[in-house]
Amino acid sequence: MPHSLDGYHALITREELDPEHVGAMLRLRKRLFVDHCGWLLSTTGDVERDQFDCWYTEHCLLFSGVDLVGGFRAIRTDYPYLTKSVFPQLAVRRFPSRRDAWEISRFGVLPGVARSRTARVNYALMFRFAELRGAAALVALADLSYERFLTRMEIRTRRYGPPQVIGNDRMGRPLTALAGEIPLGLSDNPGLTKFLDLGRQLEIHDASHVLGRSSIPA
Amino acid sequence: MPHMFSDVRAFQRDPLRLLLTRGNEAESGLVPLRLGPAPVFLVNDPDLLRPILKAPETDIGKGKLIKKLTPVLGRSSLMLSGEEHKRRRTVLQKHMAKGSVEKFLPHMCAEIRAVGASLARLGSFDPHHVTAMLALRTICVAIFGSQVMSSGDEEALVQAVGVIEDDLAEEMFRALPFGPVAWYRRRQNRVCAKLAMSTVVQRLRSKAGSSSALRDLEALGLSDRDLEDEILTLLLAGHHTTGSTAAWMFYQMAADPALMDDIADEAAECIGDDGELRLDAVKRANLSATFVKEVCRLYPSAWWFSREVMRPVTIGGRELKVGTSLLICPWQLQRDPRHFPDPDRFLMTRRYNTDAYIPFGAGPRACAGMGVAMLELQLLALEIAAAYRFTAVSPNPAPWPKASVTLIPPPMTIDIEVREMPSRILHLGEGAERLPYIPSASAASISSLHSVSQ
Repeated sequence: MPHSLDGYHALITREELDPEHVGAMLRLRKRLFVDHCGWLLSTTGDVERDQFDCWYTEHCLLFSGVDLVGGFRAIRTDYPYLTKSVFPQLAVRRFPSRRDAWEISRFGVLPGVARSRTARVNYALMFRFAELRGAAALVALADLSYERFLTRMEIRTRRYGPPQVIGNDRMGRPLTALAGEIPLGLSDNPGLTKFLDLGRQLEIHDASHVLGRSSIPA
Repeated sequence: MPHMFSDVRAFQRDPLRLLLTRGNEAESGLVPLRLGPAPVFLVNDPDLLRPILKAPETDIGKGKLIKKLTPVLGRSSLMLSGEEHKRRRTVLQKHMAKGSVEKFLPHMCAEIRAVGASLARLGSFDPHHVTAMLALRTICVAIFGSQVMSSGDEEALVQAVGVIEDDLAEEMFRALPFGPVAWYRRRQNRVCAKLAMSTVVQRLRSKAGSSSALRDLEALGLSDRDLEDEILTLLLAGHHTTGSTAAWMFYQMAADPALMDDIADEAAECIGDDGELRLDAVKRANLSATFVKEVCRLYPSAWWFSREVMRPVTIGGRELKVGTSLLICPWQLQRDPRHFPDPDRFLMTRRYNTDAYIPFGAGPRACAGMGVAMLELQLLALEIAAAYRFTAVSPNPAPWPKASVTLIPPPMTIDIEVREMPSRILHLGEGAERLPYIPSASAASISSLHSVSQ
């Protein structure tokens, strides 16, 4: 498989199609979110998973050469998803439940020398994934600082409701979160262009594509 | 005809107006006030402040007015002098200096964001009620290393302070003693309030971090009683003063939406790669820093403090005998047109490099918490302006504050709404575009948010 973008390439898959790679992603999540970041997630052995890792969940894996370095999971919002199920209070209006809106969660990259670059490519993968699925919006749960980061990156967001305190982190700090979406139309969100341009340079193997496995050339 | 009590009535009716009028109308120097048999002078000349505040404590001490706080503050560093005062102050300065508390910036910001979120749900709020609570949480972070106070303890402490403050304020400048019934009632109020506060403090001691100010105070070998007094003083001084100033900050932002928008823009420029305010950027954030300074000028929480002549001295060409009280009033000095033109106006173009600007006092007994207070207030302005807009405030203009032990803001109502993302997208340099979001190891995230809810 040809590698472009400095050796980065990606795989989109589901657990039933590729349990081996998804297993690797669940192990990466445990290393990243539990061991490195110290988040209080339920784990089994060296794997981190929850009830939203199921048959309809798509896993996006980012590789640098042969190494798995990051990724995220994506759930179509006409299926049960994390934000709507666990934090319904965060939306004043109704959460989306439609085929063209996807929830993104467990987004992260491993720490390393090229972490900034890897994280940027992971963002590009996320928006490219949305484009491939014909998504009109990406839904996420985030804290206020993350929303500010997106604004800094010239990515516009739409909130579903005001921020609310939903608990404390392991340092005892209150977590102020909000639910919202990133509208994906370029007229709404011209800041996406640079990420989409980058994402289109990425070699992506789409194993869960509805028409069967496909390789999307860079 | 003037007599030794002739200013008492005016003072009790409106001390802010009396001191402001007398101080601003008189020539610079020592302005005599007739508040009882002992001589009292208002110091309205900034040039006299250094000699007074830096004088040896054997010449000019803290005086009898402050001693009226003893029933509440006990043997804390605020009440002490001499070597013991220096010993304790060294510990406090180590932990309260701006450089020391900067490490708590993410924690302070998280507390502010949480308060902001709860206000937005309310839709409208009285600023003083919420800012006092927020300041209490922040000072807890500075003293104990993290926010260790439960909401019940917060409420108990704030209410206890409220119960005793009016009593104290009245007693501070009272010329004649109370009758026996009033005396007994006040004493009982204080006993109850002190008991409530002590109970909270005892609970907090067990939760303090190993490198916290509390542990360093314990290392001084203080008795349990002294340690309790010290913590209580820190909590009271640290939250009540900052809480009042913060309430005025909210008022000014509500009264001037354009200024609040500008502060929101400044906050956007201070954002780091993790979406948090960057310390180095906050240090350069001149607009919010000036905003805090101007609020502190107009509404200095510690609006007065006093000194007492301990042995005969000459100050400002006047010979002062033992027992003379010297009243220093930042409220008056900072509204004196000789030092601040058009002094009652809120102006963001002023300079503060004058000895007349003393919102935190000056000299060896200047407020030890000045660093943490200034940082906290600036973060409050940046975080709240970044996420919210104040759409209305009433009454506007706000009435004068109420003169108590500190300067209490009047009841106000501020309407709040969530700020939509700024229409003006900040254009960052090419370098900034290569900086994707990297949550810090301890930062909250989508995943951790999920986990804490389970």
